[in-house]
Amino acid sequence: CLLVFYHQFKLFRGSDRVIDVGSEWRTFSNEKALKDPSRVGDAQNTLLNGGDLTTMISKGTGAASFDEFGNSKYQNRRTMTSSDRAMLNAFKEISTMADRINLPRNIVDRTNNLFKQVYEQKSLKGRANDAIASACLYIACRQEGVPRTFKEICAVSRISKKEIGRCFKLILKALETSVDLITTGDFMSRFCSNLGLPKQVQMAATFIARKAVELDLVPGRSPISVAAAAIYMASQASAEKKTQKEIGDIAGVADVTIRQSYRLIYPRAAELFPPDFKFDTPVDKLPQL
Amino acid sequence: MDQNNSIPAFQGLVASPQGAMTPGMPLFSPMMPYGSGLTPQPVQNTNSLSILEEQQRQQQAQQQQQQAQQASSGTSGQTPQLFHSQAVGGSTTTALPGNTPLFTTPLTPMTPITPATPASETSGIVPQLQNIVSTVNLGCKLDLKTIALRARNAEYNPKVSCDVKFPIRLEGLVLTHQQFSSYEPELFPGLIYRMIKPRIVLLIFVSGKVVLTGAKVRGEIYEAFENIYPILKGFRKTT
Repeated sequence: CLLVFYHQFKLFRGSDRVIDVGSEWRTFSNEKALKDPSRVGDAQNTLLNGGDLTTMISKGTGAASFDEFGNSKYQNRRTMTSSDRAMLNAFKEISTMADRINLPRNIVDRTNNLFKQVYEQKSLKGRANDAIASACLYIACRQEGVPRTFKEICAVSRISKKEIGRCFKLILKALETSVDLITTGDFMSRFCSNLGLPKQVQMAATFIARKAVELDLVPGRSPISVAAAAIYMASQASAEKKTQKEIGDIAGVADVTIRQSYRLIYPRAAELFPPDFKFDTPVDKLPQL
Repeated sequence: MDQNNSIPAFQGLVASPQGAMTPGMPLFSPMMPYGSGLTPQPVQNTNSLSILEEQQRQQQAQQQQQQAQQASSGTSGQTPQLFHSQAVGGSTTTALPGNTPLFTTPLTPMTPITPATPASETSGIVPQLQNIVSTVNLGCKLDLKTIALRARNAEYNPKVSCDVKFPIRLEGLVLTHQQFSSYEPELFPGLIYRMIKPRIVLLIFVSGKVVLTGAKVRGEIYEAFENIYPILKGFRKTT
């Protein structure tokens, strides 16, 4: 009997879910039409919504659903779960922002979770939701080990860096979490590939930056500036020379800042390069600014 | 004085072109530490001391009204010993001749710093007067506490800067004291340490300079510094 087969199928699947929320198994719709008529509702997003138990009235299809003027008889769907409307809006905004810089799904999910926690706590209720969302995005990138600079988040958000920074600190306090300190290596891969530098140069720049911090040649400098200066030095020593302006554009630092940090690491340039580096321009011919 | 040396660093920060380092906390205004930089000038007439005090208070109240207009970031703790006027948020500060203090000796008013206006080109635009900042050398020591208690619009917020004379590893400090410290090099180059026991905020820099603020009484500052000193010694840079 079909029913028996169905039960056996369920047992075979394993008992992690009591209710199978997928499409009903009996429909063999290979050509996926625009709508799946056997679904009873949207895909569940229980992790993020309060509860998806609402009724939505869709636009009618038959002749009976229109009244005498030609308008649809039943009003279109009302605001579903209006308490979470702002939250859903924020999720949409987060998704848009993340899409602009091609962030993977795990970061977006983490951001959504953070936002939900902050929103439910209500301690930052007065702040603009977009600001909270941007700050959550920043924290999520940090927590996943691939931090983005504040300026990179600013580029995809309408909120100022100052406000994002403020919300960032407030959220850390509200959720009682902390984040790891940023290091120069976190940004090497992204900056170098944006500049089109080969792997050798990227590895050299990573080495230079790490060595510079170890030798404490750049005390008090932002890791981004040090990374940018290291990339400059590595690229100038290789065949792929990049100008300070180009690096500054990618990294979001001013070229004078790169110059400052470069001046600090230049005196000991010879020690900073990795031992197996192939110099296109020798160390003594490196530009001196 | 070594206390004065910390101030230019702050002013440099405020004027930074990167635009990235303006934290939203009210304590970053260029204020002189308590009781410094003032050379008490001899008062000619001892009889007029009380009148002088009265005038000083008026002067301070007037200054503070100006400062209250000026405070965009909510500066708390106003000391009357301003030696630099700060242009706030693009507002034009022009020196009006009529805005000198009400009395002459022994108070010598300093001319406010005017922005360089190019006299050669007439743009036809009349700049709107937003704010007037005037600085004054009061010329004698003031009992700040008494003034703070008696005058309205006055708060007593001593801000002390000092130097531990050795460089500090901020990364280590933030790792161990995570619940108190906040160190974001992208936002601000110093570590912000919020001590609980005496409720003081300390700004700790790599160079070894420390700024303490947020105290109600002077003793709290010293207590906080005594607390933080052994911790900082533990994170001294060894190179």
